Amino acid sequence: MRVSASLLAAAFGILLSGAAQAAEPTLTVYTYDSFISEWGPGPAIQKQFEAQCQCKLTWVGLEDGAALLSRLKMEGKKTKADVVLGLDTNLTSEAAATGFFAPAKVDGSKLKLPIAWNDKTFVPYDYGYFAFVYDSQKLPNPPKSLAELTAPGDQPKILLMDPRTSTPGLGLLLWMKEVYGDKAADAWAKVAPKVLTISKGWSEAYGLFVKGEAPMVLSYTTSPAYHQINEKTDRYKALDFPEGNYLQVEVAARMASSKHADLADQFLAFLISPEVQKLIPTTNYMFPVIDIGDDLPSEFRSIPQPQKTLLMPSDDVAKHRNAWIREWLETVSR
Amino acid sequence: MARDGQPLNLQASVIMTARPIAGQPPIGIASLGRIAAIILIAVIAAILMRLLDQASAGDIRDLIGDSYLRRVVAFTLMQAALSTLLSIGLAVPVTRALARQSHFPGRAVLLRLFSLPLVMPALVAIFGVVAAYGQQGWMARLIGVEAWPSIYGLGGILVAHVFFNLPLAVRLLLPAWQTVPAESWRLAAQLGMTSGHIFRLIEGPLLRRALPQIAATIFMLCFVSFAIVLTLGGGPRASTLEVAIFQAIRFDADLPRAGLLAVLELVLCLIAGIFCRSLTQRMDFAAGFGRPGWRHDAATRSARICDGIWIVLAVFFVGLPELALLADGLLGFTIDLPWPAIGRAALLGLSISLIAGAGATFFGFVLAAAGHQPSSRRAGLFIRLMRSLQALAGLLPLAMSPMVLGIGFYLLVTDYTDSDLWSVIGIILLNIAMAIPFCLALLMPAVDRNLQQHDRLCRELGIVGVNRFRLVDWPSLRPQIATAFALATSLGLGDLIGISLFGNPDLRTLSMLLYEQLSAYRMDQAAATALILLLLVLGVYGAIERLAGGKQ
Repeated sequence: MRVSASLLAAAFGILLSGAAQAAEPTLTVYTYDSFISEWGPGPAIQKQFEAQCQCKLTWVGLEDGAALLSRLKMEGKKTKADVVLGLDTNLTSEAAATGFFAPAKVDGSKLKLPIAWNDKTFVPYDYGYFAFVYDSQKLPNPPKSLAELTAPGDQPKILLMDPRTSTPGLGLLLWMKEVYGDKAADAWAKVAPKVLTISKGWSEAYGLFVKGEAPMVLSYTTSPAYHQINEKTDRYKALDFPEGNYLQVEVAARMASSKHADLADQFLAFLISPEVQKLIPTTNYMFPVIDIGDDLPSEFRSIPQPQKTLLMPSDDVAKHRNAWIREWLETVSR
Repeated sequence: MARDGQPLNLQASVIMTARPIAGQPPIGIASLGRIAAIILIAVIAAILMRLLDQASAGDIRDLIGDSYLRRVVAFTLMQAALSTLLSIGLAVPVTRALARQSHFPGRAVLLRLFSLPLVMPALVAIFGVVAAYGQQGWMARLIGVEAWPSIYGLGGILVAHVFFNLPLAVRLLLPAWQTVPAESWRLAAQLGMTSGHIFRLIEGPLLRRALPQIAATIFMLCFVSFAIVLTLGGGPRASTLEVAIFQAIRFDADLPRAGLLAVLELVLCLIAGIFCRSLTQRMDFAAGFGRPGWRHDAATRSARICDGIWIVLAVFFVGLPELALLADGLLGFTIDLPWPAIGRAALLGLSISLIAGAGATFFGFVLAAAGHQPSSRRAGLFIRLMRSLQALAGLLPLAMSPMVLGIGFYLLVTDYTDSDLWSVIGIILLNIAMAIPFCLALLMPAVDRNLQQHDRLCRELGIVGVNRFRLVDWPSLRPQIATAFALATSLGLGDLIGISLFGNPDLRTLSMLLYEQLSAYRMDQAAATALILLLLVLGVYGAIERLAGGKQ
């Protein structure tokens, strides 16, 4: 009994310590779990930002970008969020339509993205390309193009994610739509026999891939860099397709309802400063949005830049997403 | 309605005094149970009302006209029914074998290993099952990758669900066997009953008492299963209703639709629950001295061989994925692990889950006491209806969509307060709610038996309230209460829904840490974290059963 009592005291101690110092203003940032995990950029960002802002930074971590937007819609005006970090280009139109977000006062002149960035509300903080990653020991001759991947046959086996439950899953759906347009359903029908399984999220599929269940998985062009940097192996490689790879830009924005507008802008500006941007590659395994020179690890510099950048206008995504998902469902469940 | 009920109630109690063998629950505890049932029903209703606030007739029409949804419902029902039948069908012979062979080396360890799958986060279970039975799993490599059938599809769903629920069913069913008094076994031996007779006269009725509740529990668990169904089912062909709820909440923040789907899920689960309950039969044992029983048919060679085969098969099936997780986890220990984070997460998980475990055990106990039905055959319709409601209240947290339960609970809490302390209390309450059905299924047969046994004496001697619990209930129910406490606490340790809802980064449990490691490519660290979580569950389970359960 005494042991559990002291455990409890310890647990609640963690909580109460946060409440004790309430004199400084608190900036609440909603983001996704992995951003603020021990391995993500969150802890370092918090330390550096609190050192210069005379404020307290509080994270709220949810599952992913879609969960963030959904949570904001449910909380409405009552939300505690000052800043939201972790939406992506597929969600910005829908997010803007809510009217929750205010334009950011941030100097975006240093931004260096594969596409021109004109949005004043959403501040990009990293980007990456969806790609098929393969195990070169098991698959010496991977498909060289999306056309090869959508050719008849049931090999090689691939692991995908469900677009209803996963961000990369939705990315592939849009990728196929961008390349094949009205013929996307036919292309999916040809991919279907190669699919080992379609998991709920990226973690399940990537975990199964590393376990060797299938030699190929939907992920990012930056995934092999993790294995090179942390595991010193070249075994896993990403494919860039001549048809192009689909781009994902992750963004942050200030809530219009925030009582700490200046602080929020300060945070957004900090997010695209060199200090934070040089953390991004080895913590979030995405590309930085400004030129960080030699701070970009060599493993990132050797990642081939896709021959073509694909990105669907966010408005189209918002308008057609549910219909396209329905079409996909009909094709893949056949 | 109430006025009609009154005289019937009197009539019922008259009948009861005439048939003294049918006991009545002690007043204090039973009314606590009724209050608990009302609280549970009220919370679930509040959650649904919060979500359905904006629902319109059009939403309902959309739902009814949706042909895709109909297919999803059909598939959900089918896979849940198959998973339940398989789990239960296999659990009966395995439990019987374990009950008969009550002393063999390693039995206690084996039962602890059986408590693990239930508490595994879905992802861990998926990795374990795939490592053992997947395309490149141990079995495939043993038998030949070409010859081994693909796990992805309905087969994979069933394998994973049986992996989860066979051990659960065994854990829940075994205490029911222990309620058979030693005197009955002695009588069976004196009458020279064969195993067949025993099954028909003792074990059959026993199963009809305990199994329906367990079947309902498992059915509901499989009905709301989600990540497992998608990942091992091979794709969207295998979607459950819970995927549609996820979509409604996550993509469209469409609370009315999510609420309506949750109501549909609730209704289907409750129908299944009522069906299972209608199969339940009350069982009366003669009073005994409550000493451990001894079975004369356990020692024969054929019984031992038969029991041995069942036990070995079950251990093999459940143990292989666990062994695979152990192997993966040990590999993870060769690298640097974030020990401070692991320590903090373990401590936090322990404190939350111990409180939640105690709460769930308490509620499970009072609900079980209130659910005891004296002579229900002659009771009026109203009373029977009330009793059914009360009995189903304990199952409500399972029949609800976990997504909706979580988000609705979050919204209700944050409607009133946004303090950190309340998020902790919220997480604890959610964990209590989700563990109640398991405690109830575990405690019901024992509480029933206990009432039959001691109620008359207590009444005559006027032992009531706390005294009765201290002097009578606790000493005889101690092992079962301890098991319920252990199980509920372990469930809390593996919790993810509650903890991830509030998104407080200071509240990081081991399962949360594990998901973070996975999304940061740290697959090997995650495997080690999973192993630590499982070892912690084993330790806690053992410690609680030993400390709280006394010597068995």
